[in-house]
Amino acid sequence: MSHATAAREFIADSQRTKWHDETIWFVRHKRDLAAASVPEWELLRSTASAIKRHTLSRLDEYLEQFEQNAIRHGIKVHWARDAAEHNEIVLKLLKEKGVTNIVKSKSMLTEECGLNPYLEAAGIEVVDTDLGERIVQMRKEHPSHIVLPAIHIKKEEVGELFHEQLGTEAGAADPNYLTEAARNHLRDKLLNAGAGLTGVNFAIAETGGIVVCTNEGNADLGTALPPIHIASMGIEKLIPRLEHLGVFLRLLARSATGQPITAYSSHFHRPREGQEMHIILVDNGRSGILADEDFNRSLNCIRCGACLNTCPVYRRSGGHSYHATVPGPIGSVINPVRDPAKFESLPFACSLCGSCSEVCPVKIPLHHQLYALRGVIAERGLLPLSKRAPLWFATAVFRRPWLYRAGGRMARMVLRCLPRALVYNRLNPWGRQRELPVVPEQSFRRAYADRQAKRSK
Amino acid sequence: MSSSRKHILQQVKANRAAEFELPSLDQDWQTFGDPLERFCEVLTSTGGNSLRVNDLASANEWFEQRISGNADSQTISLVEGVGRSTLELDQLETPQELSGLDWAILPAEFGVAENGALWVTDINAKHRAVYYLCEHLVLVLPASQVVHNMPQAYERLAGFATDDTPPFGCFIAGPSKTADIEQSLVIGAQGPRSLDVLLIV
Repeated sequence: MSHATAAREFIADSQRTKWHDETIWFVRHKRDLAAASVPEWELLRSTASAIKRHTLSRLDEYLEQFEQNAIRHGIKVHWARDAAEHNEIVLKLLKEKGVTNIVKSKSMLTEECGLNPYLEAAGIEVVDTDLGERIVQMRKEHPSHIVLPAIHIKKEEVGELFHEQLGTEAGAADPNYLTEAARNHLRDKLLNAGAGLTGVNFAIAETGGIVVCTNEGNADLGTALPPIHIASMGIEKLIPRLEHLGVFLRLLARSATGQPITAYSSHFHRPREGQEMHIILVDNGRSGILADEDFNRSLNCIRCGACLNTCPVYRRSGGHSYHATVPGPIGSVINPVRDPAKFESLPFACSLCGSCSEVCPVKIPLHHQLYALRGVIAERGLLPLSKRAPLWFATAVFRRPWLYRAGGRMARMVLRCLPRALVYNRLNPWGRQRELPVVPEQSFRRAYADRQAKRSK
Repeated sequence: MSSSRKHILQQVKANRAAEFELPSLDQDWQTFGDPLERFCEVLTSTGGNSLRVNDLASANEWFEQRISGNADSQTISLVEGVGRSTLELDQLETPQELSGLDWAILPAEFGVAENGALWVTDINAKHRAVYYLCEHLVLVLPASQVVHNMPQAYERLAGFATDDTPPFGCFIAGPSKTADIEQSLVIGAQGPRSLDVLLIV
């Protein structure tokens, strides 16, 4: 399904679209204040970008170094080529220990791998512990944002959901009350979980450890209580040295939500006493993107969500319209790079305003990449007829100045007297949300010539 | 080792991005005229609370007042002289036994003025869950142990995780919180509902 088609449902409710836009703009505004409060913000961005680019140029070495150090500290390291292998590893680990219920802390990677349905089909109870993720999980939906998973849902809807599933009072919509109910529910799940799964924000080659950042402390509870900790990480999450965290932790939360740092930034370097700790290094297409010189900088992404919050299209079309685990500008790059046929419409769901590149803490040239991707998709013949036909027509006209002039003359005459139904119909998607401008008396060429003539007098 | 490992490493090596130099971290990072003041300010903005006290005895006095009227609350203290322990952390078999703990009084190693974060480890805490499962967290920190910024913080952490049993470590900045319901900030999501930082001046 194309982005435009998928967005239609969301924008049908104009009140909600406006609310969504304003709520997310509020987060973008907080990001601006946070960035402005750091005098060396631009230096931080360029440093972070350079560290990531350096890491990608030696990723194999850093991966081996990371593995070696992790193993030395008693962590078990696994490698997964794709989503299926990742899921198999997780299930095998759980089965070995007879685990039937697990708690998860924010990991877009497990979402990407489709881990939840896979484990549930094998009879394992999976509970997402991040409040936003738990809400979408209870609604049998997917996150619509990588940092604010339930940003598209209203508090009244959460109230109704919790009333049905957690037994809260009917009609209650106070966020304090609802969060308290979720706290009790989640603490119960955390205390009784057989294993804790987390994602990884940063992995450090020099020390073989991982860092996970949350505001709720769910990754900490989810790993400090159960006897097994499994961490799933994309191979691009590596940074060379511990001290580099001093750059990335300054950028991450400020870019994401405008906080100076997340409430909890946990550094895991060994299993707890009596605990098992596993790290699964997942490729799932990343090594392929690495080879693509034009687009491999998208692997710099630290998943802060700043490009989503600033994007005028994302804010007004909602995350689900992207039909991908990662939506927004960064999602419109990484998804079509991996699978252009499936995601051909995403690079076109962009106004090329450049705001995403402006806020990206690791300086991914997002709008340049989105523009370049359009060319890639056209070259591969993946454009739908609705785009191909007008482009073919435009090429034909622009190649022949006489035809262009004649066409203009005709349009100025005909558009004035054509009945609306002939102009605003299915063949003119532009007319769907807009009125065409009033047809001018004369052509631009004529007006320009007149002006020049007047001047030379 | 597994064939997937070999395959991924081969792929990554063959597809390496263009050579790019590692930048220097030796820069003029942000510092503050009065880092302690700044630390307290940012901590407040994260929902935390700070208090300067002269010594552990006055810290203890503050705590007694804080829990007055709740004499039967469950407490664990790893800071000698402040509060008392109704449970012995070392004696607990499993971290789950911490459920129902009202107060934890624990040491912090240092604070960061730039973002109001405090560094804690599990070096002396058998169950690190104590930091996250308690209802209310009190961290005790010598006021002299506040660095300006994160680069300085990691300078202090140099050597962390180099031995064979590296500790668990965490920057804690404020109480547990969430804004997942319509961006309304709620304190006390899953972890502690409050964070008090006692700065021993």
